[in-house]
Amino acid sequence: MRRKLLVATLLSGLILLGLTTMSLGKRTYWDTVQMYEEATGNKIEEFHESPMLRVKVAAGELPPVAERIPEQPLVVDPFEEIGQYGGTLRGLAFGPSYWQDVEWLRRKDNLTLISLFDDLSLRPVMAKSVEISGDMKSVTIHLRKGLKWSDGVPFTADDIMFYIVDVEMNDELNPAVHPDFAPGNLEEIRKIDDYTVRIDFTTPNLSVIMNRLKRDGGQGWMFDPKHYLKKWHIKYNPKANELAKEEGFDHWWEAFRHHENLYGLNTDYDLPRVGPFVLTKATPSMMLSERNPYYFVVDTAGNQLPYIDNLVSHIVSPEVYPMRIISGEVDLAWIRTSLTDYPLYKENEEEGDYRTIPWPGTTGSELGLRLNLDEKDPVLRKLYRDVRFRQALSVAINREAINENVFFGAAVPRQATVLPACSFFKEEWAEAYAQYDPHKANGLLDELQLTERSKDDFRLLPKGKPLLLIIEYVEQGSNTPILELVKEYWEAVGVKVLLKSMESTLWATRMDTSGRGVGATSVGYSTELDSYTHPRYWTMGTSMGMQDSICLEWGKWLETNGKSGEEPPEDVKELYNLGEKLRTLRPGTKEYVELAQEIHDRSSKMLFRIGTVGMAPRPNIVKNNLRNFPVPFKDVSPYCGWEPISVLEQLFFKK
Amino acid sequence: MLSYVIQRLLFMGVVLVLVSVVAFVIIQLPPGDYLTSYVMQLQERGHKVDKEQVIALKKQYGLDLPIYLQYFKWIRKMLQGDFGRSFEWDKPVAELIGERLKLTVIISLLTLIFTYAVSIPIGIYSATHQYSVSDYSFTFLGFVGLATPNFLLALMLMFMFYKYFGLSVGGLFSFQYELAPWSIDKFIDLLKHLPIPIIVIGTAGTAGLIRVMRGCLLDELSKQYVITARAKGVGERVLLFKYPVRVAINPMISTIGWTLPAIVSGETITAIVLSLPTTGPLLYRALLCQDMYLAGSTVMLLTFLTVIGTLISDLLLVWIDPRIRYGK
Repeated sequence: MRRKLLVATLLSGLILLGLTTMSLGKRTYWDTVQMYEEATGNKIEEFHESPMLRVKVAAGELPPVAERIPEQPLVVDPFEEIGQYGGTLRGLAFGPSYWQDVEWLRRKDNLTLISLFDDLSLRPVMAKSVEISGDMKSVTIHLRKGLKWSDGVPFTADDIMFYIVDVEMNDELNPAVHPDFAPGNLEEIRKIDDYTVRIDFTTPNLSVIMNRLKRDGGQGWMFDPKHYLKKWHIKYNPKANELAKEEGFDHWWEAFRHHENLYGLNTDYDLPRVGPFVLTKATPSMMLSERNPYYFVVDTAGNQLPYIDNLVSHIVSPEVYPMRIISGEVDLAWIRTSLTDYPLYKENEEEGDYRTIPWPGTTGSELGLRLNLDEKDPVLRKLYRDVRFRQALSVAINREAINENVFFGAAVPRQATVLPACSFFKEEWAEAYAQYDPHKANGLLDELQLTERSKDDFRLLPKGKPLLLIIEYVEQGSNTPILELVKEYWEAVGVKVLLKSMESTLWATRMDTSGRGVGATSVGYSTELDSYTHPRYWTMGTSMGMQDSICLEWGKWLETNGKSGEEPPEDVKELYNLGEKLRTLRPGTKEYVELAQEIHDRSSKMLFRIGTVGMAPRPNIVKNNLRNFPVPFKDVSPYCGWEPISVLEQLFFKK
Repeated sequence: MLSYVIQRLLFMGVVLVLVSVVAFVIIQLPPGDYLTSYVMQLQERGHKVDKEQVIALKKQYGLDLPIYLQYFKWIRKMLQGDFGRSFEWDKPVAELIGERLKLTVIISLLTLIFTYAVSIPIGIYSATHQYSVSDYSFTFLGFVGLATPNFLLALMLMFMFYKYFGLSVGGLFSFQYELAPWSIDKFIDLLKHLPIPIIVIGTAGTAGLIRVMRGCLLDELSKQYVITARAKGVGERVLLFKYPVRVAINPMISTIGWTLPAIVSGETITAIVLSLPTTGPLLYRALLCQDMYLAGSTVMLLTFLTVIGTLISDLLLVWIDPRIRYGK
């Protein structure tokens, strides 16, 4: 009990702090040295580098630091203080996939042309500046002169052109062209000069532009090292197929993808990169990275970042993970920690010499339930499509109790909707049908003529057929305890429930079939950026089961413009069109806010997804001697994920 | 004799082919393929994977081919000595298994020696002092060891070693030695980490072996020739080891056949819990995400070892027991 109180007070204090200091604090970065000097009046006289690199420069292996960074590097004012060079950051991983504590940061850090504030305004990163035309149909990217890949070769517009023209639009590498660059959408892409690229679209495409420019190492790039990869590309090397066969592949594009490997673990250590760290070794038990001597960011004292010399990720099993953390052998852990272990981490803080920082959650709902509106049985289908049924199910759930029992009261009981940090948010969406009112639920169910009861006292459909909701889900995170409680609440109002847990790939394939049951998964796309770039999630316009489509048939109809699928009712069609229109508006403008609010007003009334609790925080473990770790809300807004900042570049070990 | 061996080798070939088909089919049984589980992982983390990317990935991994073509591609490569690439690790399968095989063999051989070294003497002692207090207590301990799940034992020992000896838990090396070149210190570090895996994996086998040893020996000791030898004044120790023990050891030898693959699979659950870099966890992960070539090749390796192991143990039996002869 005491633990729960401790946790609850800590976390509610944090949330209170967050609600009062919503905007970012002091400015922590400047696009160029010039802008920094103009803004602050300070001058950066000369640049410094890590002792590890100074040795190499003296030995003639590397050019001096001033020649390694671009003419106008990015300037960062560290969160706490100017750091000290040296050290190895230790992290853990469950496997080679990139969604691991330290590996994820390494792969995504500052590998984007631009980044976004939580109000969706742009901040250049690798690009020096970006101009978007007033009609939002074209974007011009200006690169930093002197920006180099990790092997010292200059990064130029050629690298962007190479990726878009020779990789994305190449039939063998990408058999299905992405709609972003499909001929109907992309008008022209031009290299203006070595450091400038201009892309023109046929229609206003701001969301595409933003989504593409901020693409990070986990999803697909906007650029590739042309000088390195071209020898595996058939257009530049007619012998690419022979080369591929020599390396053990069947086709040139297999070899190309192996060396480029965007999605999985890339074991080509020679592949030039742009982030602060470069992978040097990957074995089944660990992954090692070393600093990138050509990294383009400096701090306000002129020190080339990063401070830390090496990264190491040890692969362990989930059982060993918390044990290694509490014994203090890990410097940073954040992705795989779970809220249920929070008391354990807090207890061992002194012995392990680390601090636990609760990071606010960014899910609209940890678990959302979605009835299958494609249900074949006509009686059931009519019932599921009746909003009153969904309303009844929603108010039958005691969200406070779920919050207390599963999340120590640290999450937020709310309906499935976007995060409060969104510029257009209205509190009423989170409160819609989120009150615990079993009396009202019973009333609604009676209204729907589900008054007959079986001998077990469960409600029956008209004509005596049993009413059974089968909830299909993957057993992970806190899904099981939440669902067990939901089952209790729904059965208390007479709706029989069967919980069916299954392996994740089975779940994924089932969600694409119309025979699927009630889907239960987390509600995502809840940040400002995600709801803007993926409005179809909220307008019910998706037909991909894996994206939690509400109704596969409606989604198909809307996506193919009526050629296949079932025609949705008028209000759904209207909602979809509004969502498509949103993409053409610029965030921050009055029209944008008004339209977004209308979309979510309607969406909230339609109640297609039933949310439980959302925004559950997660403990971040940081060793005490590791400094410059961002404080949520003070240094960075957590609702943009980690995107606006690079975490790894600033971290340092304080001696 | 020779014809027998040749006949066995031929059958081995047939078994391997059949197993390859069955293994391939079973690994592919879960719905979807490597991509589905991979994309699911991405989705769960909030990463939007567009349909076009999925199609490109399918092509990249050769998963757009029909199943039987994928099978033949795999077999064709295997016969050329190319075991394919692992999707997850982006490395040739041979390299992956090879890296882990050395340590797997070391741990397993040590465990095997431990098991036999513990169970044979205890079994002999139990048999010769039948129904004594020590016999009962060994039996009791044996059954307790058999009943306790391996992973539970592993977790308990791990925690105890951490709490009372301050040892870094999991894995075979402490952080600082993992990538360091071999040295005396690294070797000592390895020795410090070895006891837990060996004890845990070993105790599972000792209970059964003790009972078998004890039972067989008791059978022998009650035979006529033993009484005769005793009557003729042969010393107890000589009597014991020259005849009955040698006969009682037979069943132990004949089971060596399948200790070889048990060795390589390295007691998967224990290895997972202890984060040992052996082949067990590798196969487990590969099966979970349908990493076709890695899983299939590891299963083929295990099958190969099993059939070879059985052949070896049969030949060993012939060598040890003069009563057994094949062919005429």
